[in-house]
Amino acid sequence: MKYAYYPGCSLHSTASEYDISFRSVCRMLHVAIEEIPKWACCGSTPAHSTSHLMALALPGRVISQAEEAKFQKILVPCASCFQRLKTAQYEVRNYSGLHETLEQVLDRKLENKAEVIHPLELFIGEEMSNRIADAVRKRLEGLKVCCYYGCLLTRPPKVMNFDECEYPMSMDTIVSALGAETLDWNAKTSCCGASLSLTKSDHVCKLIRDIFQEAKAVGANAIAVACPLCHSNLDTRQQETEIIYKEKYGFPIFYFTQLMGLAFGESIKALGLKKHLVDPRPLLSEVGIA
Amino acid sequence: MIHENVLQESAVSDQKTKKVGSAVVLGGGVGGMQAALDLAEAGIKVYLVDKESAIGGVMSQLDKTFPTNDCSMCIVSPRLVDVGRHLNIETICNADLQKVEGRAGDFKVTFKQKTRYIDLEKCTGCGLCSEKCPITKKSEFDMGMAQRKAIFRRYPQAVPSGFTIDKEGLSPCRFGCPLGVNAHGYVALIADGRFEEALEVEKRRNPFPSICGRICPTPCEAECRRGDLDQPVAIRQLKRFLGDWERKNGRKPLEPTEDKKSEKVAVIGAGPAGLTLARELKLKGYNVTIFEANPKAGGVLISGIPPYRLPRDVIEWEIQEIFDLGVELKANAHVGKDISFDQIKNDYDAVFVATGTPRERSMKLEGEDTIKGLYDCIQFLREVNLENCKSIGKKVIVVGGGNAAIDAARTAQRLDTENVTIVYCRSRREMPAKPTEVRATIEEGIEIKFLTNPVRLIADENNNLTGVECVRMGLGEPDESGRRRPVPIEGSEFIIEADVLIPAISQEPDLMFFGDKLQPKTTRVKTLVVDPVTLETTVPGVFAGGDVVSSPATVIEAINAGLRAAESIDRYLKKEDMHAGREEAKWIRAERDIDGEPIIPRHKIPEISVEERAGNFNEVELGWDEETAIAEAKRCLDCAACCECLMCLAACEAMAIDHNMEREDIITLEAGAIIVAPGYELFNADNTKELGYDRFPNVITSLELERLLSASGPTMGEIQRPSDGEHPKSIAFIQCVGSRTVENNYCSSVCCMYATKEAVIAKEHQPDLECSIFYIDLRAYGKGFDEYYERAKEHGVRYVRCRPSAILQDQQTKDVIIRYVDDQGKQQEGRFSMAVLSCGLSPLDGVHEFAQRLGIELNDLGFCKTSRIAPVDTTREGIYTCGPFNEPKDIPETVMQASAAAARAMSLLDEVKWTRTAKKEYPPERDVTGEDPHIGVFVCHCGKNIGGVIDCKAVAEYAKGLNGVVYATDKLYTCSQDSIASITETVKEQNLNRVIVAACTPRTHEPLFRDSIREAGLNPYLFEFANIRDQNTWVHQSEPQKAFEKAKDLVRMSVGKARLLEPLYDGDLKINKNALVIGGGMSGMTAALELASQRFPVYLIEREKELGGNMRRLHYLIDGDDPQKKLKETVEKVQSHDKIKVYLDCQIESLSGSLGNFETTLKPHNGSEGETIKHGVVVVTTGAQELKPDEYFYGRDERVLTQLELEEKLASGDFSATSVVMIQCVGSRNEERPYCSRVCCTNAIKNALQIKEKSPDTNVYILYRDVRTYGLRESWYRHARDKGVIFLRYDQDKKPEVTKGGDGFEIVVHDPILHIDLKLTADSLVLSAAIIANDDAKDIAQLLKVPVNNDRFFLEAHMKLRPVDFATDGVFLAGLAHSPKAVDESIIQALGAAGRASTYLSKDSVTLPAAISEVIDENCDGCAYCIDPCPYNAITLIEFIHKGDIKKTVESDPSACKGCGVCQATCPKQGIKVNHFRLDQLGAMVEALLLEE
Repeated sequence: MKYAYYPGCSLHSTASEYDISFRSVCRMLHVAIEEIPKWACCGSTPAHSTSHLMALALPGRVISQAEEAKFQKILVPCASCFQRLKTAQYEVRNYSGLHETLEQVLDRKLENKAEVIHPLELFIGEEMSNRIADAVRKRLEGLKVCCYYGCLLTRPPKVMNFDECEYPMSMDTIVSALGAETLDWNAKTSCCGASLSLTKSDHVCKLIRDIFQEAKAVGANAIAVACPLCHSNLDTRQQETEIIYKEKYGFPIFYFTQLMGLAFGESIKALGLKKHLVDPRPLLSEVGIA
Repeated sequence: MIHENVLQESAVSDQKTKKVGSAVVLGGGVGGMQAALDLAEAGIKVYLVDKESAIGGVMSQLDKTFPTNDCSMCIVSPRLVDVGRHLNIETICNADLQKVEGRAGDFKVTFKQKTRYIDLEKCTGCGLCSEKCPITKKSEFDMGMAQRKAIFRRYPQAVPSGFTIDKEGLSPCRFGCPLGVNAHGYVALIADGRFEEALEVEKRRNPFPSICGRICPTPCEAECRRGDLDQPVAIRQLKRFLGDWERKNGRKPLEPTEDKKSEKVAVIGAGPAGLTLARELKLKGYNVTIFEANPKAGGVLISGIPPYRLPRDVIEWEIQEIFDLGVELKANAHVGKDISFDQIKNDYDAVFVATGTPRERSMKLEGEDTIKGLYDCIQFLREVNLENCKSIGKKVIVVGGGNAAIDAARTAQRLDTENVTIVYCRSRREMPAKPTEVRATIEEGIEIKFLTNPVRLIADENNNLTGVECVRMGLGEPDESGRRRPVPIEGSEFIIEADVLIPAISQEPDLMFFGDKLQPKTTRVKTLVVDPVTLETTVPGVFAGGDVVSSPATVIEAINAGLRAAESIDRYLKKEDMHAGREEAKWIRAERDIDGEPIIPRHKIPEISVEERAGNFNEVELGWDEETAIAEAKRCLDCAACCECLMCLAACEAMAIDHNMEREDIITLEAGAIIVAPGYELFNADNTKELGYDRFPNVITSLELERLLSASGPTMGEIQRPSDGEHPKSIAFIQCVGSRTVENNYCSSVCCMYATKEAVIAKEHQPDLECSIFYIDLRAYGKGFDEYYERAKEHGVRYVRCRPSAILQDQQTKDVIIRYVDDQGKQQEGRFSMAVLSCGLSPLDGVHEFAQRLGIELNDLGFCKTSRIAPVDTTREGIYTCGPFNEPKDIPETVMQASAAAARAMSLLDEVKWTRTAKKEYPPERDVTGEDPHIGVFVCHCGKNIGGVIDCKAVAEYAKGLNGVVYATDKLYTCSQDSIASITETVKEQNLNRVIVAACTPRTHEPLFRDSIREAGLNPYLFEFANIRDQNTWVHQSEPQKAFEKAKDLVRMSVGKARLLEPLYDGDLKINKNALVIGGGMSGMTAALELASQRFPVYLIEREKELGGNMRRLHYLIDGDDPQKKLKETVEKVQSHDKIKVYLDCQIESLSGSLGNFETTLKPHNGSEGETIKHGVVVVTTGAQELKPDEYFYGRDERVLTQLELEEKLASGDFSATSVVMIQCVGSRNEERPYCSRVCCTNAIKNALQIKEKSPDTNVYILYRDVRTYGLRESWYRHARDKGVIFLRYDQDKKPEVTKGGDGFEIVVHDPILHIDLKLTADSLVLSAAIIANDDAKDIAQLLKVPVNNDRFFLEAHMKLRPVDFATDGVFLAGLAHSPKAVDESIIQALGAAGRASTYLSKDSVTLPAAISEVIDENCDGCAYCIDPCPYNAITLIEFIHKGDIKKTVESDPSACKGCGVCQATCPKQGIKVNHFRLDQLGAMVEALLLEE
């Protein structure tokens, strides 16, 4: 079976390393993916803070496009996109009349049956964990990773229906299968301040400082994420936060797919690891991974 | 088909009339125990069934109980003893319900019972077995915070007191071993540092621990569960450790198990199979001779296995043990050459052939037999190992991938060779050799060419080998062995230079020696054909085993063959059936859950370095020291729990243990009724991940805290933080964990109070401790609860009204961090040493299946479905319920409901009471009048409990010398069945007339011993108990000498008293079967009807002119039942019942008498003469009333109503309003009435919903302090909010202010969250007025001589465990007279009172103990000093005229007296005595103490 792949705008731009590492990992795990033809915006922040209908119609369109191309499952790596698609699907299912309205607005058929899944869901389960175990070439020993899920992936639980809302474990399961040590910490689902990144960066610094302090307290040397917004905040604002709070964090921020790629023997370059502002290479060479 | 149906129907109609006088009670907690005791006392035989190994339920785990702070165990354990001792209660533990067939009155109930592996009849509960058990598991009773053994008792006071073995099947390691060696057993004993015992376990089946400890291929380790976690336990190395330990410490000679016999057995081949058989048969007394072709014994062990793996001295030492037994060895004896097989067969009675596989199979290559330089692998190894060959050639190729190939290659490498290459046709993954061996081979510099096969031998002109042509192989499809078949790759041929080729592909037997006459059948591969069970060949009397049968296999399999053949030969020679009982046992493999087990890496096996190995045969692997061995053994996960090391068996002196019992039994019980009281499951805190339970060490559950607080708990009552064992500085309690959530839409009813209690008790333990309780509403709705809550606040317990969303942890200090909003609305971050999760009461795990098996329905939330008007009846007739299975509830409510359920069962089975019960019959009693004391003394060791501290024999000897003692002895367990029988015998034989047992405690055992002498015809009061355990050896354990002296003192005192003992006779009190019920409300009518349905005549007295009480004013119930319909039906039933006589408009003038014989005079209100009635019991159901408030314009404005008035208006349809404000707690929870009226929150919600239903647009506001919708009422609270009812909280010190204005009222209420005053307008104001006791409650109490509390509610005998009894026997209590409660709760308590009353009324008479007070008329002058101190009101003053003078004396009522002795102590003139504890008897004890004889 082939999965529809919805990269969203981030994975085509700021988070291109999430995109390339995800594609690479899929290839190595024999997961066939294909971008949804002519996909467009998911309706994240800009739309859903202005028009409720537009915020549903945009993701509705994506789902409809995938269905038109006969996909049954849509893979959505960006947490924000993921949430938009899930929300649209949920609301259409639960509020009468909405389905008809959307079809009318979009002027296209929406079955709303395609399953929207996050890569974290894809990579857990017995069959996948066997494939991952077989694919591991280089165990990521020496990496002490805090898995950071952010606030979007699991909330609200009845809509997202993803992992354990307050204490998700899927990323931990995957990352520890790669040989890295994953740590129990307090900030798994804290907010990084994503939508305030440009408008109130001091808030963001405060929020991510809390996250870094928690990671530091449990002895982490890296943080893994599954969301381009989380990555952007934790990576790009890290140095600034260090200056403001006169503290040193030095946490490389990995997409969990990059860690998978590393363990599967993919090169630094092919995983886009040079793109990060907090250079992960010193850590990787220190622990003997690359 | 039709025919069958007809048959069934007629059978059914027969059954309809049949009833069985027994009942099954499911669950042995407080509810189950109460129901069982009530039923048994009322003449119904009870089977009390529990899924645990002991009864007691959760209450036995609690520390204290609220609101009285009683020790939970102290109040529950007497009840445990009552149940355990009851003649008509059979306790069945470890049992799981399977199905319920039949119908009400005649059920068949089937259970699956897990065996205990212990005979309870024999087990005395001494605990010696447990001391010897090497396995520790987390104690379930202590919530995993303490350890227990695999053979254990749930808790020290457990009933039944016998032990149980936790055995989950067979540990996987034992599954793996072809020899069935008990690896788990010896590993566990090593972990416990008990090497000698471990060795004993190992050697039960394996004579060669040192050998197998080095070369076994460890199928056990392949099965080890730890392998799924990290790496398997190094079982082989531990086995080797034992062998090494034995060599170092010397061994005990083996003891033959049977006598010497004349039969002779010949063994051909001194390999492991032959040697094992020789050992076994020699131990059984046979003469055994081994014929061995080699110069030494050992077979393949010495010829085939190189010394660097298995040093020769190890083999010799281990084998020597067998020859030390006297087994004869004929070495260098080639059978077939030196002696013919026929000869052996002639000379010996049986023969065992174990000649192995000495020939190498052909490679089928051209020139194989002619080219020089080819060595047969076996021949090569033998030459090196036995003949000290040092040189074979320079370039060696070994062909093969098995252990033999590896051995050959590594051996060759140690000779003067240049290079050694292994050629193997498949890949490394398929290689049969052990991976560790392969690794060592490569390390030592040997090249292995995988996927390579020799195809041609190349020789020079002298026919010497010069090289081997090989071909590369690819892997094709899997073959029958499951491995991928190698396929040659064409054109890939290449040549390897070599002057030596050692094929090591496979070996086969050499059977030339048999000769022609007695040739047994062989297989295609030239092995011998044998019977798979007996190992007998086709020649009778000739057996075979080991490689000669199996082809090359492991040593461990050969040993197994030796054991099997030994068993067969023994039977053969004894002419027994060789097959019987030898089927493969069907073992169950223990599947252990390894989730969350910590990773512990395997300890490394030391090796000498590669450099040190070159050119010599020194042993490569080395052994472990004791420390390492113990540490490695501790990695064992104890998969099956019990490891069957059988150490307990040896320790048990009572011979009570049997490891071979059937794993489980199916039991079917006949029962007329079933009472379901299985309790609840504590909410699994791991389901609320955000609270960090299981992740943060210092987050624990409430039940864990109970165990920490308990003096008998894991820390002996000291509160220790799990993370560091420190005393906490502060504790946060989080309420409503698993309750009042979207998924669990109910309140667990008990958590607010238990958290309050835990906080109070924790502060008692540690006064500086800060306790904060985070709550939503504080639900202190029960009797005495609000006062307790207020006291807790005074004690400094802090209450924070906030539900924290998550618990975080400070990673350094492991403190917990809780963010919350304080009462100022500010966000706070609190730091606490610990957090306690107040977990709710969830339905049982698997409750749906359980209900299905019972055939009863559950409600949506998973609790047992009942209705508010029939609150103990399940949906299946004849099955009743009680406790939290039905709805989350507290202990007293559970106990009430248990008695209620029992009452329902009694009514159902009324006509068959006493049909299934047993009664004890005794022989006639012997008259001992005038005899001198002939005292017998029995001193009990109580296993080691007493015997381990003092010398019991010496105490018995000492007793013999005491005046009056004619017989004294000591017993290991005086309470064991055989000891009891022997006491009875000894009394007769020795003509004893007094008996003393010096043992544990009279509390549990006195009745048993009294019974034993009564069996011998002695009056039971001629028995005396000396408590030398609980009050001596337990408390003076560390001072054995002083304890010994004290034991003698105690025995001497008992003898002193015993000399003065006299026969006493228990009284027999006739019970009048009539019942008096005072109060004709719902409670009174319910109690009356239930008693009447058991055919007891009932007098029902009602003060008003009609029946019904407060129920007449109720028109709705929260769950939708119609109260008026129920009331009407009940009144009709009462009025038409022929057993109930109703007196309306009437009250009680006077009441006298006591249990069984009361006399009451009535006082009709119309002034007519009151009837005097006689009755055996009294039920008080006088009710209570709604307060008429004196605030908020009540009574001055008709738009101000109470809830009851509103309800009446709603029912009659003349209520309408656009805005209704309800004010809660009017008259409750204030200084005048500090209690909660319990029902008002639910009533307000109920009425608000009625208003909303009739007129959805009406605004309804409920102004409350705490919403106390406990239990399943909670869902209605949510429902009301959904319907738009608005709840506003107010604080007690800022009560709502109401003014009249406009068309209605203006209400100002201060909102404590927003910190603003809210203004509401209402055209109707409804007051939730308090429930208050009746004005005449005190008068009635005085008439009945029973107490009331400060609020004039009647006070029960005990708040927790006797909630419907009074301290005065025969008087019971139900309904609002007890405390405010809802209709269903009144009905439950009324049924409960009927049940309790019936325990007396069902009997014709009750026994009054003889050890009670008796007035001595000549001494008593009626001074009346004794009357007031009597706690039971048993003594009355009597005045009478004697010879013209007024005389005074007192009279003691034997039915009221409990024999406490206060009167005897008070009387200045010895005018009253307590029999069996007379002053002269006590004096004799004191004298004996002071004057040593």
